[in-house]
Parts: sequence; C-alpha cells; structure tokens
Amino acid sequence: MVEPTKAIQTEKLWNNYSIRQLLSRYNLVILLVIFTTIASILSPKFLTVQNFLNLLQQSSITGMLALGMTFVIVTAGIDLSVGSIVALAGMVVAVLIQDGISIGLSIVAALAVGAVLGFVNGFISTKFTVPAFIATLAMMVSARGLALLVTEGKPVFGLPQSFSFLGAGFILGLPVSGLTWVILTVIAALILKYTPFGRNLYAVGGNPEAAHLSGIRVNYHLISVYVISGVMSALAGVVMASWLTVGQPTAAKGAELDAIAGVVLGGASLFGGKGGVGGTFIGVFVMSIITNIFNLLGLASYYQQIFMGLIIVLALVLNRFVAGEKA
Amino acid sequence: MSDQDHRYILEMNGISKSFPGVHALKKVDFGVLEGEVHCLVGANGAGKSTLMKILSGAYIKEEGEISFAGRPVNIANPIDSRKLGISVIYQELSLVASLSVAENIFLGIHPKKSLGFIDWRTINRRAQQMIDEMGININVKQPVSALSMGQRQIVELAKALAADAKLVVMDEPSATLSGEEFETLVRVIKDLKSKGITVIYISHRLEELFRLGDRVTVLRDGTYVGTRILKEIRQDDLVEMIIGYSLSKQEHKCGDVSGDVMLKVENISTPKLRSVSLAVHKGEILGLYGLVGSGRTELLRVIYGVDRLQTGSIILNGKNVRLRSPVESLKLGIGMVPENRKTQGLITDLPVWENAALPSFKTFSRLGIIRYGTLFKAVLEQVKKLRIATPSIKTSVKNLSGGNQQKVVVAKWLLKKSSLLLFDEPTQGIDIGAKEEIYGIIKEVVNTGFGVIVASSELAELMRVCDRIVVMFNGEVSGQFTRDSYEEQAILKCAVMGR
Repeated sequence: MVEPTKAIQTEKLWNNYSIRQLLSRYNLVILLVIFTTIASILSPKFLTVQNFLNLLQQSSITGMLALGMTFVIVTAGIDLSVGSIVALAGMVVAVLIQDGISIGLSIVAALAVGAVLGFVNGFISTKFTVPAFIATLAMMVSARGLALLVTEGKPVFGLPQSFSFLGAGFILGLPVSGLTWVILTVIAALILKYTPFGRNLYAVGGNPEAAHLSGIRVNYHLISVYVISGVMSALAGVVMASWLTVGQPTAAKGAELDAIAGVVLGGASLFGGKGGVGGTFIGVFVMSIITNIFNLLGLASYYQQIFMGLIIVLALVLNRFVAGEKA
Repeated sequence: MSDQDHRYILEMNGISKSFPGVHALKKVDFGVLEGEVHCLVGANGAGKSTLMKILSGAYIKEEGEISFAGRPVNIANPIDSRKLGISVIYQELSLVASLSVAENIFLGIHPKKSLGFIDWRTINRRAQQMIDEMGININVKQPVSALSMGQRQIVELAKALAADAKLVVMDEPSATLSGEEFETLVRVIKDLKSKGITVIYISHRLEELFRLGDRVTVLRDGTYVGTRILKEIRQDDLVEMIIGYSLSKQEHKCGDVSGDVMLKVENISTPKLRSVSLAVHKGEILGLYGLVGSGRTELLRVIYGVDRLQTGSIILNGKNVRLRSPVESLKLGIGMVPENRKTQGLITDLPVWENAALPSFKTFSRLGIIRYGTLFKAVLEQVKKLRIATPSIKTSVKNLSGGNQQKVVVAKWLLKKSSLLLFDEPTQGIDIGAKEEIYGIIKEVVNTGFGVIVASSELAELMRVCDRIVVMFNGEVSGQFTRDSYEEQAILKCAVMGR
C-alpha cells in the first residue's frame, strides 16, 4: 500500500482565523458599526430605542423582499418581479377585504397569488430554460399590469383599522412588521443552515451539474426559491397595504433593486453558492441607516439617491478588498 | 549533450513561495536551455503550477532570482512576462469561443490600418498561413466553438506564436486530447522546436515525456529533486524521483467473478449505444475500455439514469429497474464518479464536508434537521479512511490537489453507502502516487462487497486492476476478456477495429 502523502492531524472543525479572515467574515458588522457611529455623532436621537424600532419598521418591507431574494440569489438566480408582486398582492388583499371577505382569508389569498406567480417564474425559467433575468423581467411587467387591471389603476382606500395591525401595529412596544421580518429571518437562517433543502440550494447555486449528478433535484429547488420569493413579496405587499391602509397599484416600483442591493451588500454572490440571510438582514439595515443619516442631514432626495449608489459600490469594493478577492 | 552547446534561456534560482499554511515552493532551481522541450513533472501539489504561475507573473515570488535570455528580470505581473516572450497555455484554454479562430490568434494585437481600423484581411490571411504551416486543416474564419479540444490547443499555440513567444509553457495539454489529436500536437511541438522556440511541457503521462522531451525536471513537495536527460533515464527511475520511494507492483488477487450478479444490463440502446449487454458481479471490478466516442461514458450515464434508454432493460439485484434520473439510481445504491471532477463531481467553492455529504443530507437528518455532529464525525472517518490530505474538512475543495479532490468524490458515495460504483476516467489528470491510491481504494471497496465499473482510456491501468474488461467500439460491445485471457494486442484490436 502506498503511504499517505499527508495525514490529517487535526480534528478541529473550525480553523483559527487570521485577522484578514476575521475582517472579511465580519466586514458587514464593521460597516454597521461605522455607519451607526457616524449617525450617532450627527444626532443624539439616533442611538435611541425608539429610532431603532422605527428603522426596523421602515426596513421590514425591503427586508422581506431581500429575504426571499437571498434564496434566489444563492441559487445563482435573480427575481426582478418582486416589486410588481408587492403591488399586486397589496391590491388583492385590499379588494378582497373591501368585498367583505375576512382579513385572514384575504391575506392567505394574496400570499397564494404570490406563490403562484413565483411558481410561474420558476417553471418558465427551468422548464423552458429561459434565463431568470428574462422570465422575471416579463413577470415584472405582467404582474404590474395585473395590479393595475384589478381596479383599472385606481387605489383602494378605506381599509378597516383592524387590518393595519400587521403593518403599523405593536406587540409589547415592538413593531409587528419589524418583528415579523426578524422572525422570518431567523427561520430562514435555520432552514439554510440546518435542513437538507437549504444545503442543497448552495450546491445547486455552486454547480448545478454536480448537484444533479449527486442526486439533487435541481429544478425542484430552483422552482422552490422563486415560490419562496413570490410568497415573501406578497407578504411584503400585504404589510405595505396594511401600513398605508391603501391598496396602491403603483406601489413598490424599483423595490427589486433595493432588495438586490441589500442581498449583495450582505455578502451574497450573484454567481450563486454564497450568501446568507443574516448578511442580508444587516445589508438592508445598513441601507436604512444610511437613509436615516441623509434625513438627519436634511439632504434632498435626489442627493440621497446619488450617494446611496456611491455608498453601495464603495461598500462592495471594500468588501472585495478586505476579502482579498480579485474581481 | 553538454550545456556549453546551448545557453540557458531561462534560469530560476532559489525560488520560494508560500501560501497561508502551505510552503508551496522551497528554494527551487529550474533551468531551461534555449530550443529544448523541457518537461516539468511532479505529483499534484509538488509546486509545478506555482512555479509556472511565478514565471507567468500570476504569482509573485518571495525569494530567488529569475534570469531570461541571460539577463536578470523582474516579473511582477502577466504583462512583464508576456513582454519577455513567455506564453503560458493553461489547461483551461484562454480562447473566446464565440470569436473566430483568426480573431482569437490576434486578440489584443490586432494589425491595424491607418485611422486605427482593424485590418481584417491581414488578420485572416496571416492566421490562415500560420495554421496551414502547422499542418492542420482549419478554416480560421470559423468560431473557436466549432473546434475540437485538440484543434483549440493548436490555436493557442498559434496565438502564442503571433505574440512572438520565445518560451511556451504547456500545462497538461494532453489531458483532454484523443490519441490522434495528440499525434498532431507532437508534430506541432517538434515543428516549434525546429523554429528555435523553447517549450516547457507539463504532463502526468510519462510515456509522452519520453516521446517529446529533451530533459525533465522533477519537483516534489515544493522542492527541486533533479533534472535529467530523458534519453538517459528509465521510466521506473523517473517514477521513483516523482513519488520519492520505489513503486511496489502489487498484484490484485485474481478475478473473483463468483459473487452474485449485481447489475445486469440487457440489450440497451440509445442514440449512441447499440444493444449493449453486460453484467457486474458483487465483489468484481469490471473494466470498460474503448476509444473516445466508443460509448463508454454514455453507457455509464444510462446506468446512472442521467440519459434515458430507448430499449433494453437494467436489472439491479434481480429486480428490473427503470432509472429516470440520478435521484432514483442513487436511492438504489448506485454512485458515479464522473469524468470531470471539477465540473461534474464537485462544487469547488464548497468545503470538503459539504461535497462529501451532498447526497446524504437526508440520512444525517432527524425530523428534517441536519445533525452536524454525526455528519462531521462520519465525514472525518471517510477523510481518514481515504487518506484525504486536507487541512480541515471545512477547507474548500478547490484548494485540494486533483487526487484528493477525486477522493472526496469517492467519499461522497461511501458516505451514501452505495453498493455499485461507476468510475469514469477516475485517474485523469492526477499524479502517479494518487493514481495508485485511487486504485487501492477501488480494490478495498470491492473487497467489502461493492460492484465497480471503471471506464478508462488507459488500458494498462485497467489490465492491472480489473477482473474483467469489456471493450466497446462504436456504441457496441466488441469484446470481453477475463483476467487470464488479457492480451494487450487483442484488446487494442477490439477497441480499434471492433473485432
């Protein structure tokens, strides 16, 4: 028998990380600290529990979209239809409630619409091998059309006060929408880390052919992530309608880009196989803090957009730089 | 041959380089004479690629000197290296598949007309001339995607020539070539040599070195072992230099075909297979030999359920099974080690444990939750059993050597507790030491009651390892040999002529 070239000496499962590795592992946290520091210097009101809870609530809609988007991006896909599904789900829930259907049932119906549209996204991109970019772009356009069609473009006003609990209510002083986002993030993190389904997503994103040859049902997993993204978008739509107590067919235009920015800022790779919902959570939160800083500075919204773009790019460049990766 | 007749075109002295946790090169010396074909060999992880990446400017050396054409040089990036006339052709070729052959050859150095417009006529004419001179038949206006791997290698060489390369490094060019394509490559390399161009040739296939090379340098574990003139050294001695100890040629115990029939394939037909029948017994290693395109891989893919069969049946452990996808064959205990481990066998960014556990997550879950403790323990056990050299099971497989990567693929199926393993070219592109280990593993696996099919284009290997060899030709089974009737000539004839 041939001698082993090098035996494994260690049973330790976690390596000792060097400073560089630590930096690249926790760079997002570092960003979070930096921006929090800046904000608290600018305004004494920033570091208050109240402001923090406000931020949580404000971030929750983008946060839910980004949560679903993380699943999609881990499999190397993209979902451009989330903003339109937000609007459509918001319209569905608003119209049904106005028609006298119970709030619970209306919400379920809206989520079902999100699931179906997500399924269509996944089905078209896998079975007909249409790139996800195109399939979901088409859905973005069509779902927006559907949202407008429901009431021929008119917003739905006058939703009952009881419906606003989800978007604007509080439990023990905590905003319900923010709480929902946090809980869903925790559940998603557990799914990604501790279930075969979650691990398989990384495999499918990393190398679909090897995953297929390892007996993983690639298309099943791909369709699933679009369904997840669809349902999360619909939930975000319900929360938004509940918050504003309005069904607004033009709502959440461009929201898909905020969600993608949050995911990428959170450390996911658009090439798939990398990323996690914890990172996404912080990514979205950092974006909200930046907006918060702008508001504290009293910056006009045009400037806000310009600087937001710059900061996202800078953050990503810094990310790469610290991680020592070549682009 | 004395060194005085020739001068060194390249001298690398005392080169060191380390990566986090690894000392990749330790004061390595490497000298190449002008106009020779110099072979560079060593086991995976010996430092060949690192040395060549330092030469090409992809890595920066930590210590040592390089002189090129007699002058000391400083290579800080790939541009420096190219300016000196050094051209490195990697296994993953650097051609743009959608562009034409001619455009690829002149990529970045387009001849221009006045006003800065690209001179297409000159590009096409000169490219065609270069390709013609190399004695191969390609129309340079067609896209590279239409070419075979062998033809692409030639185009890479032409590209190097167009860039005025004086020294061409070829990294395992033959790994993806058929026999005929390799002959063309040999001819082209000899032609380059006659033009005074120096070639550094990296390969694991020792027979090739003896056919092609003038001298050979051996590296082992990041250190320089020695340089020899190929005409003056025997292959066995070279092997010893590479692996660092003498190779004991252990014999496998003679053909045990007495076990129960595990897999029976009857009259399988697909667009590429015609009425193929064969059987694998428990405890048997069945070899599948044939030229490229003979249907070896296709047969394995059908058995594994990747491709559908049109007619015929597959009987596994006495039961007729219909396999529509790997999901089903996996459940029945079939595992496949595919031809290309990087693109088909592994998810290179993921760590060792995850690649090994990929098909078995469900087995290691309770109530849908993965039990990492048990899983890691099981993976560690396989890592030890298969002697996978990795700093940790959390290391990305992309950081392992080829042989160790292949072992991770095998670990995947041992962890899944498969009982029938299909190996497609299991030793492609891995070094001799690791090859021996892989075959050692196959034998061990078989002794514990597995059935194994090994498809390979290396007959000598199959003859040494397998209990039986089935030869394929043109999608059909053209012959069967048991261990006592092995005769190289007869098997080859079967593979080449179908009789």
